[in-house]
Amino acid sequence: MSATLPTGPLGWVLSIIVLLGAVPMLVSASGHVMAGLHRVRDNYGRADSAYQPRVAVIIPAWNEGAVLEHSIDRMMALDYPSERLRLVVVDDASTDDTPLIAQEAARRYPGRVVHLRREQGGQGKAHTLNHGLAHVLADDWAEAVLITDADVVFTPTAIGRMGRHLADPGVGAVMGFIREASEPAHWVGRYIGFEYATAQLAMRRAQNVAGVQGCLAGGAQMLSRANLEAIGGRIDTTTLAEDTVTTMQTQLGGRRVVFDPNAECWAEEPASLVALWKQRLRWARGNLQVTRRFRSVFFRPSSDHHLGNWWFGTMWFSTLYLPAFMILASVALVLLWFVDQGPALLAFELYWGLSALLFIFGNTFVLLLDRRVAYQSWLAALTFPGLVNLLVLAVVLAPRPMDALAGEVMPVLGITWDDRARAVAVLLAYVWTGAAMLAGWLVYRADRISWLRPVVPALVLVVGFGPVLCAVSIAAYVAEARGAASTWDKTEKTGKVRTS
Amino acid sequence: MSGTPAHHGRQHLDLLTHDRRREQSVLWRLVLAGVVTTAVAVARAWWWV
Repeated sequence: MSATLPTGPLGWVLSIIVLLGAVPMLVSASGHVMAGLHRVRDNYGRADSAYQPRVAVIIPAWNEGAVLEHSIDRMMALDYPSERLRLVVVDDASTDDTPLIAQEAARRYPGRVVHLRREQGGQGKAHTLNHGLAHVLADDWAEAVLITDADVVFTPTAIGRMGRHLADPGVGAVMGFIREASEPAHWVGRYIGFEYATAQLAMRRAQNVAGVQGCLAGGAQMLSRANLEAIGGRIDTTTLAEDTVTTMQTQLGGRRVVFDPNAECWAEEPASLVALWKQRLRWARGNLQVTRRFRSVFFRPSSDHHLGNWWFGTMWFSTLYLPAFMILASVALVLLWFVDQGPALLAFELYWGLSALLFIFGNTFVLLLDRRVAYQSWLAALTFPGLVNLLVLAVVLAPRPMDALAGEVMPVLGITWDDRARAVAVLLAYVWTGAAMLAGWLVYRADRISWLRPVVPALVLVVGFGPVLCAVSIAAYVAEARGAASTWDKTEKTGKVRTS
Repeated sequence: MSGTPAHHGRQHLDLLTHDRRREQSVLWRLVLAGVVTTAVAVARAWWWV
């Protein structure tokens, strides 16, 4: 069997659908190229190193006793003028020792730490933040507000590095780089560490270059007072992605949102697949809600903002609907196999050949961007798509050596490696692109069963962390289509975050 | 003197210079990633097919 061009219209249509599946990868690669050009538009030219705004830090806290004290102490010891930094802990009706810790901190740091308490809590982070914002904006002390999470640890210079960008009144918000820093490092964290490096160090640099950002980091965002007041002095409470709404509102108001990759913070991320699923489902559903709300903004260039930028729109939707692209590509490949195997092989080689090269390009670039991520997460980066997908990539990259290897290995397994076996293997590879997400969902289900939990890391290694994340997106599509209740689920934190 | 506004100003000025230089190096990392990818593509085209 050899790769050939399609001969009929159905073959062409299916081939085109397969190749459309490569759009998210191409957008990602274009983002990496743009990130490489970050120096051209990194916003440092407009930053003023001498500008140190008075910053009110708001920490929403619901049962954060395990992490709060450490975060407050670290914050108070930051390399930033102490008279220009205040901390507001908004205790969201916690039932643990959070109020005691916050009160004790207020006593230890008089005038610098304030403890506010909501007697009725559990409504979510945005409501808690609004309680703090009402307090902070009641007088004119704060020139900027830093919104963070109770578990986030800022490196000593992070706040100064963020604040310097607000010297430019055209900048409404700045975000830092959140590094996964669970201590001790765990297998989920290693995958997240690599994912964060890709999504932040590469793609947010690219968005700086494009002049538009999709989402402020929930745990490390600094907003200018002028911007906060312009968007109503409140954080949106109608979606599960309040950070994204703030990002959109800021840019629609004509102010820029900037990412500073050198303003670094450390955070503890979920240590199990179940906890990760809960967090990511909330994010994915929130993004779908935001997309609905701001649908009139995308692909409509404007002189006031860059949200209508075509690259940004393509990136947004190809990320949001990545699983849909992959499932369509997989289904089209299988259909094409039954219609005409020659064009199916051609489409497969093009799709997976491109995947292989962009995988090497993207991973190499991201690992080169950050030494710590490279050291800690290189294996997670390599196995992110899963061993099955890696095998397919290897076959596409080196078909002859891999065929020879199969000729040695398969007979040992009792399989005759002939043309029929090859055809079945190819069909399985076509199916796997879509089926991997179903497998990802099954792995998540396995993590809910205590006796299966020990084998979950091995299952993720085979299936891939990427397909698991895609499965979360599909779950989000389903939840939104069903109109499931938008409840706020807090990600559990234990306080095990690196301190140096 | 450490802790004074002047000290903070100087330190942050140094940081800005440092961060600008670091962003310049991102381009070279991109070029290196491109070289690695090209090498794999060439290897595939010449030897592995």
